[in-house]
Amino acid sequence: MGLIQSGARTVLGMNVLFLLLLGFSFLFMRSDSGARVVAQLTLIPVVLGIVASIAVLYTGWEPFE
Amino acid sequence: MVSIDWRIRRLGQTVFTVWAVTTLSFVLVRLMPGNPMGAMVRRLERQGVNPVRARELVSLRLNVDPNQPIPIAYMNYMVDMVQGNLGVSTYYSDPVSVILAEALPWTLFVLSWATFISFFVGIAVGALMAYWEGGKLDVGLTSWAILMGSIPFYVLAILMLIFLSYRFGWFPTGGKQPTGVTAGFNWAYISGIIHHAALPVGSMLVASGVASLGMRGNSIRVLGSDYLRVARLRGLSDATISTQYVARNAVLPMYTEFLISIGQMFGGSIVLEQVFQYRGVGWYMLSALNQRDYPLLMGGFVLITLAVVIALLIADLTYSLVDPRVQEGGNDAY
Repeated sequence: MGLIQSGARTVLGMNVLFLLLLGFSFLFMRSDSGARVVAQLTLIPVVLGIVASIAVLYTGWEPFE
Repeated sequence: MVSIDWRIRRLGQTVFTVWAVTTLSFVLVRLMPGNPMGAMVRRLERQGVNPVRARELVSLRLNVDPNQPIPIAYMNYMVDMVQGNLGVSTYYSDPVSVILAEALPWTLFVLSWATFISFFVGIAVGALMAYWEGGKLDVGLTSWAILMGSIPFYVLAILMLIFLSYRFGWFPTGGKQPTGVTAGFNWAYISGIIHHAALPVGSMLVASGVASLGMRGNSIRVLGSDYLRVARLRGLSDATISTQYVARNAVLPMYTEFLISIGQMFGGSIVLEQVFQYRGVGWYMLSALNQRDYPLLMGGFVLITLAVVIALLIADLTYSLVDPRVQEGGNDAY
């Protein structure tokens, strides 16, 4: 396992944690608040990070090999 | 002797940790001098309200029995916690879960970008520094990283606030969202959010200096290992050694350190959000402390504890995927 694979697992763990906390926020926040906007903005890098890291892990992409 | 799967044992440890920290938070908060009634009475008295009238108003407002024994209060609190009820803030008169849910995205917005940038910049810069060890790039970047790592992030935050906000006026001096703009998915609001979060994120990027030093140190330590001497003797190229041998082993200690640092970042957000008057979870935690708002204070503690414990659990359960040597279990990752 190379640097990209290890890094992808770290990014995946980190983003899953952020996703859990955002899930808590979405459960309890008011629908018309600015917090909902910023939560959705935070969701973008978090979801992108999860998708990218899963893609890297699934394909076994290792450009330095 | 019955062998319990290490994952189940690890989950049990997690539940115990949550219970222990929740109990400790309850005890420590109750041991603090003062109480919510006293804090509110003093505030009303400062506003010129008669002390007797102030006590009556506070009793009505708080709607609590101040004579409730602590064991009963503890039992009620734990039962509520298990049911997911964090209580009602005595200061804001809103459910704690709503206050935290509204504050958390702002903190996560700053943390997610700061950690994302610092992690990738740290690894990239650290790998470059280790690869050209002793060169001008390494010396320059190491000096810069040591300087950045030596400055506490809150000092850097104050310096940035003084120069970039007050002196040059490039960034807002406080707050988390633009005033006079309707909250929603419009460019004025979104750009305002980014503008307000720029300095908090920037001051947290000081961690990238520390991360790059950590990556450099790990890489250089790995570079001196026996198996790398063997790799060199086998005639492998520098590129193969640096990517296949050095980077893989250098990134492992960073993995757990990075996830543990998430807890430290949540703690650091208390100071950071106070400096920038950025109303996230940290800002509400300090406000709750000043107002002796027990439910909000303990709710914040529990939320941060859960975040750290879940992060460590993820680190532990996935560590065997990163490092096959711990695949058989029995050893915690941290």
